[in-house]
Amino acid sequence: MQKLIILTMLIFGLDTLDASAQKNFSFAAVDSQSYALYEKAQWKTLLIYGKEAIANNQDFVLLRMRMGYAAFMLGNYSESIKQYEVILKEDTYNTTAHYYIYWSRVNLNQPEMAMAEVKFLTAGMIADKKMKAAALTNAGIELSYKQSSVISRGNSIYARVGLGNRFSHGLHMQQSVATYQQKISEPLLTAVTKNTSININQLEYYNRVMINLNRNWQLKTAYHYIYTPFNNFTYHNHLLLFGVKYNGTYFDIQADAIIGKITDTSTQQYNLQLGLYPLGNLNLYSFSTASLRKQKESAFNLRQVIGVKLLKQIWLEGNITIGEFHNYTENDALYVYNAIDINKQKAGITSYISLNEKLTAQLGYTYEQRQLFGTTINFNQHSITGGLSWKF
Amino acid sequence: MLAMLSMLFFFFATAQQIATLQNAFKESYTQEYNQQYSVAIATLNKVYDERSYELNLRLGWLSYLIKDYPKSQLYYQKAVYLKPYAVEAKLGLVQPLAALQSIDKLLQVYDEILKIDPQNTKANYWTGIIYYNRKKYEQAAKFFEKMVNLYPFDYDGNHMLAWTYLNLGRSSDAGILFNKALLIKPGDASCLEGLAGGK
Repeated sequence: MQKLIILTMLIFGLDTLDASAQKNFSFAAVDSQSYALYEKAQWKTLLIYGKEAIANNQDFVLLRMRMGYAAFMLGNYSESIKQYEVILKEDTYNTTAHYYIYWSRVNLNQPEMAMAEVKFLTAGMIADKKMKAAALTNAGIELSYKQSSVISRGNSIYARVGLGNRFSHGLHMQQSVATYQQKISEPLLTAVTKNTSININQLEYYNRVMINLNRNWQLKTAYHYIYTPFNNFTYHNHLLLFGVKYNGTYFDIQADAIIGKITDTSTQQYNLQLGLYPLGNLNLYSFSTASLRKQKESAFNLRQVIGVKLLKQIWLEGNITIGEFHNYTENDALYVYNAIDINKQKAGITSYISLNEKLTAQLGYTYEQRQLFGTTINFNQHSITGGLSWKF
Repeated sequence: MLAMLSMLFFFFATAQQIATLQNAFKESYTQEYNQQYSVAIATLNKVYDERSYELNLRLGWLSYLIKDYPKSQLYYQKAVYLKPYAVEAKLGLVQPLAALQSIDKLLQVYDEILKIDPQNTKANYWTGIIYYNRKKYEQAAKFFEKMVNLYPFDYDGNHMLAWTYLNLGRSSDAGILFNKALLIKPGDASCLEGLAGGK
């Protein structure tokens, strides 16, 4: 009998414990609790509670609205987009959802994708110039000084001026004009006259067009022309890029192909790029690009970029390119490595300083190890790059 | 003899079931009147049959009253499924959908109502409102016009059609309608604002 009493007490006790641990996830309870947390601005608790409620099959627009706002207030823009995108499945024209997706994309440095939301916003929600279909969007300059460790490769200067505009909310263009100047000496290039004094005054034109297919998908095309005079030789290099990009919430992924001719050699490069935003913002981000190149032979490269926000207005970004390369392109074919020497190693560090809402400065250092043309001798190149970019 | 007994038993059982159902409904009306909505739901749950249009419709309404909108939506959806041509079930369904702000589904239900009953005032009006809120004024006008044709001396139709015309740049047409709406609701602030050009 005593055993029975103890057992009954134990079961009763456990039952009570279980009941107190269980939360009420009725619609009314979730609605009022999430509203109370919203009113108290308890953003973290609200997000956790909302996720629990959804796991318990209580999912409705107002809850997602509160969660989306909570994530936005916490600076987790990826999470905010995730919540607001669910709302749009229930209410395609929900202005609040479009508004916060717009700002989340802006804060994730995806201004082109942000424009996909503008047609759903009402006048006055964002600045009038942002609402305009056609506009200038950005301008920038970049200057790089490269110092070589061998005399036969003179120090070089790369300069680029860029301008961005949009023709509509979904059609964006980025153009650049660049020069690259270097004096080299290469006796092994026997067909080149005065090969101990080759002045490379390279001129470049770059044009990239991005088309928003919808809220997440983008189509990319780019064209890069490089005029490379080489004493008695002149090369007209053309590169074309076609790609698609999916902009998710905590990640984006891009696949593209670059075809063309560099120094009279046909080249193909296939890239797969994965961008990650583990904290849902730009406090920590990573871009990994795997590239397969087909020229005379096939080659593989992996480029890794990791960025962190150091201070309120300062980001630090490290990059490394693994694998030897020659006639290799980076950043949607904006940068083309077409030097005669094979690149053995490349790594760098860049800091971005947001001077104000519109102006950003960059300062970077890049180390490269290259192999002298036709030899096994390695030499180093150190580059210092500075730049300014302006958002209109 | 056995067959007759079986029939008698069946008849008796059915009659008892009907009586139980009628009693449950009767009880639930009293409970609803006394604002004991949860009790009314419990009463009907005792006799609940998923295949019953009437029970789903009634539970949809009672769940709506206790603000359990997801459940209300579920019951009304079942009722709609059981009687696809019933307008009343769809008009019930729009209530939890509106409360849950599932506007796309709401528009879809109104569209279904208008396919069955093109002159339905409520469906025409609220479809117009959704399009108006989405700034699709051309589409909104079609629904408000229908409403004003059916009820020329109704404030809501005249008032909303006036605002829609104003947004479409048809100021003189809007003015006529605002003035007409002011005959129904003299001194109405929104109409006076519209007459001043919506500024």
